[in-house]
Amino acid sequence: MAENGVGASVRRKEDYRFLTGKGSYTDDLNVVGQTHAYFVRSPHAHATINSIDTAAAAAADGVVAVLTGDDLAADGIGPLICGVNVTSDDGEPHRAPVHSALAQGKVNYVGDHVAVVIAETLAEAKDAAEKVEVDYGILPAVTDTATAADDDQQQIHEVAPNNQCYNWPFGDKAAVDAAFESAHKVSSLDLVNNRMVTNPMEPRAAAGEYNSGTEEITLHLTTQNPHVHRLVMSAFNQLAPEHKLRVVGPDVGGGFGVKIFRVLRRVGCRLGLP
Amino acid sequence: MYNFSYQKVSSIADAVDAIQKAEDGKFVAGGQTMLPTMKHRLASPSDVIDLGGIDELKGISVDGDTVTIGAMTTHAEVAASSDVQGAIPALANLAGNIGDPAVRNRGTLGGSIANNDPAADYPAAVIGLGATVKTNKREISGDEFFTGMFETALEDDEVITAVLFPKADASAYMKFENPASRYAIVGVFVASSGGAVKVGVTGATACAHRGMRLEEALNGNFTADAVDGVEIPIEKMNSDIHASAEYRAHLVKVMTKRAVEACS
Amino acid sequence: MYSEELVVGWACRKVNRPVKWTSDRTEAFLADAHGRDHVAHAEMAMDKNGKFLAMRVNTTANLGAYLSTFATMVPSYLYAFLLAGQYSTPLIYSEVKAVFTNTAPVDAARGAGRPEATFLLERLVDVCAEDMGLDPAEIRRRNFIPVDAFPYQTPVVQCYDSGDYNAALDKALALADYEGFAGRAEEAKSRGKCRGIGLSSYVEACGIAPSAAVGQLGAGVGLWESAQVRFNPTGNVQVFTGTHSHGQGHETTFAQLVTEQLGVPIENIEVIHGDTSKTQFGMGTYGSRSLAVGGVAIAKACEKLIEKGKKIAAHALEAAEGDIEFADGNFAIAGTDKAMNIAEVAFNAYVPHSYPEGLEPGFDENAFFDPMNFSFPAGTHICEVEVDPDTGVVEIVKYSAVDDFGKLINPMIVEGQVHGGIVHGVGQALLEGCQYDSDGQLITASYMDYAMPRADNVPSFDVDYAPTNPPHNPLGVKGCGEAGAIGAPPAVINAISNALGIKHIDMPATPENVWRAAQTATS
Repeated sequence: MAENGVGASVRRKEDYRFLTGKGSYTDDLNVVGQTHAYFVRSPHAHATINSIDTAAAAAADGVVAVLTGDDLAADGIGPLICGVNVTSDDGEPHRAPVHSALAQGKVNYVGDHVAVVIAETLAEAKDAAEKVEVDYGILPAVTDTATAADDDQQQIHEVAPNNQCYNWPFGDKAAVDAAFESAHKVSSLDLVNNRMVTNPMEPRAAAGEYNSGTEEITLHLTTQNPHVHRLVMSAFNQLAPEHKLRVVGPDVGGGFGVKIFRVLRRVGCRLGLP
Repeated sequence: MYNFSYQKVSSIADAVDAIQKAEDGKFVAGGQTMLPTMKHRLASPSDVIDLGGIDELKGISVDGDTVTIGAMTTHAEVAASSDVQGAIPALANLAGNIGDPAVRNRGTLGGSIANNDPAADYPAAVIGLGATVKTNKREISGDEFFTGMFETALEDDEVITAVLFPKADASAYMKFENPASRYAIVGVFVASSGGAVKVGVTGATACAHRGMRLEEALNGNFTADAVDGVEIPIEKMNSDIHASAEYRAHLVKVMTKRAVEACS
Repeated sequence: MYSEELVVGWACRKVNRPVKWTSDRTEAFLADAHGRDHVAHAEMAMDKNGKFLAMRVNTTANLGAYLSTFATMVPSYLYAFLLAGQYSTPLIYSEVKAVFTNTAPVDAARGAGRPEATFLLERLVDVCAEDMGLDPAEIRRRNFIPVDAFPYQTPVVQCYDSGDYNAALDKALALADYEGFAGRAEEAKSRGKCRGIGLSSYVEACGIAPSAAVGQLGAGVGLWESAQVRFNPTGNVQVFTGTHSHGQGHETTFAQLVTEQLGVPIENIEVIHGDTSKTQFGMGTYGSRSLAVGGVAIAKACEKLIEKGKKIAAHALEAAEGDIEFADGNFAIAGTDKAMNIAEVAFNAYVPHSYPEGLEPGFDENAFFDPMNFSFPAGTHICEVEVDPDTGVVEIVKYSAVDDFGKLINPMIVEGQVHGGIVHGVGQALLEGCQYDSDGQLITASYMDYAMPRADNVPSFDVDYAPTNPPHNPLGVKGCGEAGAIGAPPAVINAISNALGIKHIDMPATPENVWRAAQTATS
């Protein structure tokens, strides 16, 4: 075995920079002319957006821009995608509601993205965000997993009757049922797999920079897979061609799945491939 | 956080003067509750008057049977004080288990009781030891100081200067911690002096209170078993995602028993 | 991917200014993808010996308000395909209903589907043991896939690579002093405590993943991994990987692979990742895949360098290529002391004054690796708890984990991953419960109400290994990053159920819930 080779508990090379404060996380990056984004988020779990008035916010101190879902759509930025198809028991693909990066006409959970304020300082962005006037039409909320698909529940997405994304059976039901019929003993259990918030130590962050000379966007992200992030943003969201988009995942303080983008169902279709 | 004006004063008179002139002023002691609240934009005082520069509010002294702790004394200072450890060890232990090291090194006795969080530790000791809260205007008995959730007998321009804790023959504090915040879901401070027992209960209700039924049972029979027969009414108990009223009422008894056992 | 990332990328061009956004913790609670959130009903049919004949599972999975990137796959392919666990159950039927709610999107969280499946199965197995009057270890043994049955085709798609489940169980039982438990329980009783012990024998599918397999499942790209190993003319090495390290220690582990293979001192090796302008296309890090897939790509690139180096050395040493042997960083003529160090070879490749005809200059190779199968780590975790029946507080007094991760490259890092995973699982079992009220307000939106595990919630862990050799993986490695989070929750809950003599308690087993269960158990 080589010294420090396979099987050796070598001290982590990266720890020197982390332990001496020399790590460089997305929020550590600061560039000349930098602005700060702050998101206006829905305080309601389920509501229509009747109107958004950004005038007062746009006029507030330090504000560079206030952008909404309409601006996003006008620029042709595509919705966020889900990467894996599951075929439901009716033979149809899973139901996939459109997920715009900034809400268009409706919000569907507390924290949903309604608008973004870009300002010279974060404090100014936050102050201005309070001035964005949103007229909501509040709808009943669905929160309980077990009863979400019940007939009397509020509908969330038109494309998903009974709030069902899919019903996916797997296995030989008849054979299994027969085995149960003739079993010596059947044990059963009802249980809950509790909902968790993953909480990586470093929260998510993004820092974008555009070079109008090269027409290249450089995006530093808390990502677990920068190339796939770039591919999706290019192929689905039309953010920029892949060669004009650089995605960097600098030091990232934990992922645990929260910072993934992966498995793309429709890349081939988008690129005109079989 | 919204904009505010900040002043650091060096005397109680200046502090009173500053708050009287402020449109919506607030004293800040250690700031361990107030600053996070302001950062979350849940509070927006026009003026923040920092009491940290007033020397006469700091320090610990023991005089006969009384331990006097200045309002601006930090939890860490109380926990580490050999005077407090010698006179009322349960109080030093209580201070040493508030929050985390950062909180203990910034947070103060005066700030804690003036804020009167329903789950704070110190109020249980103030009540359980029968302490007296001294202000720039008067002396207020511990029993009368805490009036409701985040409410006290203090007037807007009144500054706590010190708390006078009488020594006890035996005392102990038992805290059942919230697994998330580590605040007290229930905390019970039991003190016995000259045969008389006092019980201060925090976390259980809107604010810390005396456990009169528990005291009654323990007076004359200062044993854990004496607590068994006590009925703790659940009507006034707090109830939240961490603990129901019924569970809290049960924990009041369990923590009291454990505190009594720790006294022996 | 998230709204904020796309919006920042779009906005910086729109306003033609650099734009930065950093989530605060409240936003993270509200808008990060959440994990798990299933309700399920599970049944096991057994013969008179407690042998599993068939399993039936009905699951409702909450996907939140929108479909996050990976949302559809987590409660389906990553869940139902793990329901065989370590057992030879011949028939399994699963039905998963995925629903939308007015809550944050739900997506992958450490283990993604596999912890949910393992919790369900390993809890159900304990219920089976109780119903059959068998010891939990014994019922597992009776149903384990035997060591000579590998590779083992389960009834739920997956074909397990390698495993010796009895070996891991035996080692874990010894590590946990299972035999001595009764005595410890008796002693705890004298102190008014209820002591319990719980087993969890998990298997997981990671090293994600064979491209062909995921393609069949509905994914549109491959899940291979890439590497480039580049010598600089002065002999130091840059390793470019398509994986991404965000705490896993790749910069060390991958350097160890290279130093082992090429004999270059570890301090002369730099691992580079995470920048689309620096590294070749790669798929990234999740599903405990970086070493099992990305590590192999690095090893293959190193092999190419050795092959090329032999040609360069043969020319320089005036020997036949077939006579050159490579070991410990030196290319030597077999049976002689004539040799060239790999750094000299690299220099020759960049300054090819005397160089084999027709050979390209440069000493820089890349490789891609697409695995033939997932990797299937497995193991037995044993948790021992003491419950205070007066308060419901659960103390984990002992935790033993024996895992099969194949060959370990850096045991310290692996152990760290195991520790972190177990703590994650303990968090799920005892502390972490994300709750919305009926209006859809998140009532656990800060650390004041959402309990994360801390150092004093866990004991010092006893960790050991029972490795097997996965035949399809050239490095003989399996993934280790998620195992603890998968194995721990049922071990903890089985221990609590055992301590109180109850059938089940839901997670998180908060003090009040445990206290209530203790009341019911004793009444």
